[in-house]
Amino acid sequence: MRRDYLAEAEKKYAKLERLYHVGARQAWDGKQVLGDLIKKHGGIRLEPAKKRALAEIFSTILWGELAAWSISADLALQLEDTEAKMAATSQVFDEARHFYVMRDYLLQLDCEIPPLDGYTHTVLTELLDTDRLVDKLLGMQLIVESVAVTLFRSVAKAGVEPVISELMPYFERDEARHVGLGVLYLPKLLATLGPIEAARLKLQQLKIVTLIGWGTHLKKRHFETLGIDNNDGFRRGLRLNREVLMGMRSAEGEDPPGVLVGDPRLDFVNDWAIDLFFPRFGAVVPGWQRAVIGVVDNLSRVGDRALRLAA
Amino acid sequence: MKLVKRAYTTFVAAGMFLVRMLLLAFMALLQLTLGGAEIRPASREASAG
Ligand SMILES: [Fe+2]
Ligand SMILES: [Fe+2]
Repeated sequence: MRRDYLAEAEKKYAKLERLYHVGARQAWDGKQVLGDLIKKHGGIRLEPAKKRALAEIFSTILWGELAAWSISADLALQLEDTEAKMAATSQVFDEARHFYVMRDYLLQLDCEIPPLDGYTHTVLTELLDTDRLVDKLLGMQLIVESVAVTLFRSVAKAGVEPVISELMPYFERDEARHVGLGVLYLPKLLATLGPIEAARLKLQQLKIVTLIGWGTHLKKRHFETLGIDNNDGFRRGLRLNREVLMGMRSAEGEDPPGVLVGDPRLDFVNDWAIDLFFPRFGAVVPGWQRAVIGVVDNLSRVGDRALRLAA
Repeated sequence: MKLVKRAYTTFVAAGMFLVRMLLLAFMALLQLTLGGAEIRPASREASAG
């Protein structure tokens, strides 16, 4: 029993170190990739309304990448096990690349970069400010990275614009390794959590998820302009999240403490919530639903302003 | 100052969570009485890839 446990731990550390080596092998030259894609497609050709919508969505990604860059640098500094340190160090390089490629892309779009909304601002600054390693790992590596991966897939799938569509898989491949760092390393940190800390961490996750949900409402019309179906995105995001959390289960199938794991029996609540708040493109929307969603849209702007007060 | 800001954002987020739950309950009630909205089966099976 004890031997198995040690063997399992050893395997995990080997995997963590591998994240670094794979990262080094798969490192891509952002300048070259973006330059080639722009040349291949003859620049970024998009009508102005779509350009603005793209800038709205990708400005949050731009600041998200900047935050991820700083947070992974924090992790590289604070993590004690050298294998995890290596994985975090490799992530720092990835996020720096993501940041400058996204910045260069947005500059090429040639339209104003909107300020960060209150929801994203709150999530990112709190992850940056916290001294707690578990909060950073869980919030950034698992929740924010998963949202990013889902969004990258949605953008690529919607075929918004060929340069960004072909760029997304490069980002996605890197982000998958970052999620890997969280999945492999978090259980060790979570194992030491007491019940109060575990409850606090769950509330923290609920806070992040709530803010992301309202933030999506705020940006809804931009997603619509780009032909991105949030209903589909949320469904895929939920599945991805479950897969990620399953990856953190112990060999005995137990969930680590402090993680907000969706009970499969509550899945139908999620399905109802997604379909009611974010009807699928092309779905028939009755008048009462349209009315309530209108209220939700307005409330999302109120919340945005309230949170910006603290920015 | 950071603590004050955090308490404030937590307060706002808690309020927004509550509002979200109330709206969900309200819409579920409308769906069960008036109906008409499209509710699709489990996310786990839906829309692969
Ligand atoms: Fe990134
Ligand atoms: Fe990342």
